Parts: sequence; C-alpha cells; structure tokens
Amino acid sequence: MSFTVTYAEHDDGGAHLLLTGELDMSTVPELTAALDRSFATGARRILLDLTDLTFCDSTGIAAFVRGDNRAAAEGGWLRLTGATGRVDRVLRVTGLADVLGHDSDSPAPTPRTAG
Amino acid sequence: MTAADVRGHDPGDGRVWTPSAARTPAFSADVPGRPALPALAPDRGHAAPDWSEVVEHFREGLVICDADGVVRQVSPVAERLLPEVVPGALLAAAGVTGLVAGGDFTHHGRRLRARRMPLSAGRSCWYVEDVTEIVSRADALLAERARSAFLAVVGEKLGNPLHPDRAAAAVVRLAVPTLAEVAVLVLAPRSGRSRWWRASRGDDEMPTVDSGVLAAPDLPPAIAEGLLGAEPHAVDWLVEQAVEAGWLPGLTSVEACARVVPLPGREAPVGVLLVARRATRWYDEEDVDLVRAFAARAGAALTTAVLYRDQAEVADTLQASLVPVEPAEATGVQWGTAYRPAQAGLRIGGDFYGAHRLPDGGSVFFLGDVSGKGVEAAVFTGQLRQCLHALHRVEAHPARLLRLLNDALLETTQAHDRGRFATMVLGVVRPHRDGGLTLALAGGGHLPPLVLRNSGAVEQVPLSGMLVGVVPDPRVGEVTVRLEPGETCLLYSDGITEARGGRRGHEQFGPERLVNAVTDCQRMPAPALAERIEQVTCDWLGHGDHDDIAVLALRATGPGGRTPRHLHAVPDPAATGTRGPRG
Repeated sequence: MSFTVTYAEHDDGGAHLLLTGELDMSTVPELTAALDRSFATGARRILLDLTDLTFCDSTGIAAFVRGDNRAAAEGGWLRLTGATGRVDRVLRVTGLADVLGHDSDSPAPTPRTAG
Repeated sequence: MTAADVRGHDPGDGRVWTPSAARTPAFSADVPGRPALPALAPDRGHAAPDWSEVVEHFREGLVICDADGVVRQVSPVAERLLPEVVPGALLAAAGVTGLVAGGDFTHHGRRLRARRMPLSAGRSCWYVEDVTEIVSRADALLAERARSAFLAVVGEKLGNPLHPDRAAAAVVRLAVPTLAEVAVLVLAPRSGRSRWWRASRGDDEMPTVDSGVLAAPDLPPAIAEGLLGAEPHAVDWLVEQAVEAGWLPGLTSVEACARVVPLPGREAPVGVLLVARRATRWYDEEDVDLVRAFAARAGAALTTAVLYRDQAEVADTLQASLVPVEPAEATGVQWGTAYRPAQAGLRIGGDFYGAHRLPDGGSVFFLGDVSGKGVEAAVFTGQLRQCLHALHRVEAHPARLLRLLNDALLETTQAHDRGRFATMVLGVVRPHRDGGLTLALAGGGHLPPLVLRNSGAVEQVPLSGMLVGVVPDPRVGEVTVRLEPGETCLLYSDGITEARGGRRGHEQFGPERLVNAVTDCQRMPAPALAERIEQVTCDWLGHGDHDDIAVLALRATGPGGRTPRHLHAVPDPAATGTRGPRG
C-alpha cells in the first residue's frame, strides 16, 4: 500500500496533480502537504487526477473538501477527474462527484484556460 | 605520627612516662638513658623528642599493667577517660568492666573503644579511645541512609497511582511502622465531607488499614487547621483530639505523642497526615523532617491521583453525552443497534445514530458518519445530534430536514474552516394499520440502506445524495420504502464495508459480503440482526484496527409486535401476521 503525488503540469495559477495508490488516514498527510505546496507556489486552480487512485476513504474525501474550501477562499477551485471503480463509487455515494467533478457539466474551466 | 604507627613496635619498656607528672617538666628526669624511639634520620639536627611528650598527644589513652594486673602507668588521656583507674591498684578493682572485656563500651556517658596489647614480661597495655563523636557521626549517617532508603521505597511504592482511594491507603500503610504506630490520612473535604484512612500496627507487624468519612465541621480542629496549610504546634491537645476522634486505638493521651503534617497539593493541601506513637519515642526535629519529606511525596502522589480522578470524571460526563442514545420506543417499530468506536477505550467515535418520536405517531431516525476520528469527531456528532433534536420539531419532512441541517452545519464548519462534514441517511417512519411501515428516506452522501424482504431477497435502496455540511444547496436524494410486517431496513456505516481483514488481512469486507451476511436473516429480530452484523465484521477484522462501526435496523413488528405478553397477539410467522389485532 503506497500513495504518491506527482506534479503533472504546472503553470501560473494552476496545478495538475496525479494521485496514485490508496488514500486513507495514513497517507492523507502527503496529499495535504502536496496541496499546501501548490497553494504556496501560488496555484489557485487545482486539478486532481484520480485515474490511478485505487482507494479513498472519508479522510481522503475530507482532504478534497478542505482543499476546495481553501482554493475557493482564494478565488480558485479544486476539481477531481478520472475516478474509477471503488473511488468513483465513493465519490458518487457521497455526492462529491457532483460538487468537485471536473467533467461535462462542470462549468470549471481547465487550468490552462482558467481566467 | 599516629597511634597506629606507635602500635607497630614496642613502645618501650613501659617506663616512658609517669602518670601525673606527665605534664610537668620534672617528668623528663625519669626517662632512662636509652632513647625510647628509633634514632631519627641523621639530617634532622634536633634532639630526639621526649617519648612521654609524644604519648601525651595520642588520641588513645594508655593504661599499662604489670603481670599481676596492677596498674603501673596511666596516660593523661586515659586518666581523663577512666578516672577510676589509678596506678598501684589492680585494674580489675577499678570497676571498669567494659575495659576488661575490650571492645566498645559506654563509660561516664562517653562511648569508649578499648583494646589490649600484650607487652613483654607479661605486662599488658590497654589502648582506650573516645569514639563518641565517630559513633554518633556513623549513627547519624546510618540513620540518614535509612531515611533515604525509606523515602526511596515510598517514592517507588506510591508511584503514579490513578485512584485517590488506593493512593491514600498506600500512604498510611507506608507510614507504619517507620513513622508511626498509627497513621491517619485525612483528605481535603469534597462536597463537605472528608474521607480518612488509618493504618495501625497490628500484632503480626502488618499494619491494618481502615477508613471512614467525617463531615467537615466534625474534623478535629488540628486537622482542619492542617487542611488550611498550618502545622499545629500544640502537640498535647493534638493527641487528645486524635484520641477523641477514636483514631488511636489502645493509646491514651498520656501514652502517645503525635504530629500533624499537611500534604502539599496544588493550591491548598490535598490532605493532612497525623502520625502517632508511644511517647517513649518522641518525635524530634529529624523525625519531623522525615515526616515532612514523606508528606511531600504522599502529597504529590495524591494530587496526581485526585487530578486524574477529576479529569476522568469530566471525560466520563462528556463521553456519556456523546454516546449515541438508543432510539425511543415507537409503535410498530422494533429497533436494533450496534456501535463500536474505532478507539474502543474512548467509547465514542465519529459514527452516530438516533431516533426521535414525532407528535403524529411516527419517528424521525438517522444514522451517519462524520469526517475525522476520535474525540473531535465525537464532539461533532454531538453538535449534529443536538441540531437534529431541535430541528425535527420544526421540520419533519426528511429531505427538508436534511437541508436545514446542512445549512446549520455549513455555518459552523465554515466558521471553523476544518472541512468537516457528515454523511447520513435520515428518515421518517410511520406505522400502518396492517402492521407495515412506510419509510420516507433522505440521502446525505451515505451508503444506501439495505432492505430484508420476507421473500428472503436483500435489496439495496436506490438512495443518493450529497455530503452534509459542504455546499450551500446540496442535492438530497429521496426514496420511500414500504416494509411489510417482519421486513427490516438496515442502515450502516462504512466501518463495516471498509473493514479490512480476511485471510490476507487487508481485504475489504465490501458490500457483497454484507449482503451475504444478512441473506436468510429476514426472520431475525432487529437487535439480533444488528449484533450479527457487528459480529461478522469483527470476525472479518480479526485483531486489525478498524474504523467506527454503527448499525441501525428497523423492523416492522406487525400489529401484535408490541404486546408480546398477549399470546394471541403474537403473529404466526408463517401467516405473516397481517391480520392480527392491534396491540
């Protein structure tokens, strides 16, 4: 069981992070730290790619919500994309897919075109 | 030159000095021509010192007897230490028995140490030293060591007691017999009453301990004074007070002596220690110092124990307010619950459930899970349950109630900026005349409930919805479920489906195993079903860590379900009981 955060893309104001592995109580501090670093470098629009995330529990959900709250306070947002399997199910059960989902109906622009 | 050096060789022929004349210059006339000391080094140009002059400065006194035991010479020091010993008389006749026996003996209030050395021609020499100072210093050192050892044992035995009663009993037990024959510890009053512990020396040397309670006004004045931090000085009436209080069995006020020492606490003394023993062993300053040192240690131990007890009481009170309350009895509903917090020792966690009766005969019920764990999560569940307790009085429609709750939580969570939220299923249950139930359910991002049908089918309720306390206008799922008599609706937390265990130890229990676990359980009473789910989950977990676990089961009891005493009202399970009389 491991969890890693990879910075896929970075431009001024936007950050694209790839999450890999399992996100739970023991690994959530790494995500929190990565988000802190992104905010510290001035990122306000954060896209988390969950394609390779195999597990996410309520502490992971809490980290997403906290990240979005913080981004929103600075005039930005945090969105999730690519969730599959169990992670997708958790996001749908909690309704978080509707709130932080980055696909189709989301009015949130991509990091590159974000104003 | 020391006495030991002299011992190494023959001090001479014994005629090196004469007793009384030793201090007079005339004495030197008796010195024989032969030098008594070995010749000094040749480079020392001085004349050899008078032998008698040297002997005079020995710490030891010398008594020389001839072969018949008649004293022949007595050195000035010996003269002073043993005035009875006079030249010309038999040593044995002087009556100094300790001297004849040799070794240490007490003479005229001094501690003397004597040893006899045989000399030539059958003569003997007694070396007598005054060791009063040395012995008393050694005694003082031994006593000090004994005190230190005692205090070390006290420190170790008292350790870190977490219970004031046990600490108090240990304190009095340790005080006997070193400090007292009877030791009484009186704790500072709590709610106007003081508890006391007493240890008294029993016949078999093992102290017996008993205890009691006194109302604060009945405390002996010396104790009350001690509790204010004063160390009473009037020792006599202290004993009388202790006798009057019945604390000194077998001792009368004339026989006993006593002291009272406060046990230092955080602000005021945590208690007072009374030590008493027979007046044959008075408490001197050193004894009192030891009692004070003991009291300091005892006070520290008791303060810790009292602090721990107070904190534990606060924690217990808060905990009790955060433990889920069992659902109130409701017509036609049989409730079943299970609750197992992640930190079992804490007894509280982030899962919650509950039910409140509505005026129309229905009940609002809920089960959920808040983000986070432990105390913080439990406090959040407490806020949430209180919110629901108040809000259900103004809004009984499940989805609208959930939105109200969302708004209330959003306000507090935004204020705290902790990203706190809850997931929950909230419903209103209403009984029907036929014994069935209607459940109006609202989903707040929680795992959808399961329904156990009479047919044996296990259905998942298609309930969706959004987390509570995250966004201002959440999507709330709504579903109505109809339960026939005997059917059960099951609400549960993700601590069950996400329990990790199994053969490889890290596999999730998952929703499928849960469905399997409850399949064919449709006839089980709701409490048994909830217990079964908890049991199956714990078996899966083995000894692994787990998340909070909560289960709330509602079973439609049917019309006779609430009156099991009336046998005619108990529905025949095979007949589904739909036509039974109402209870």
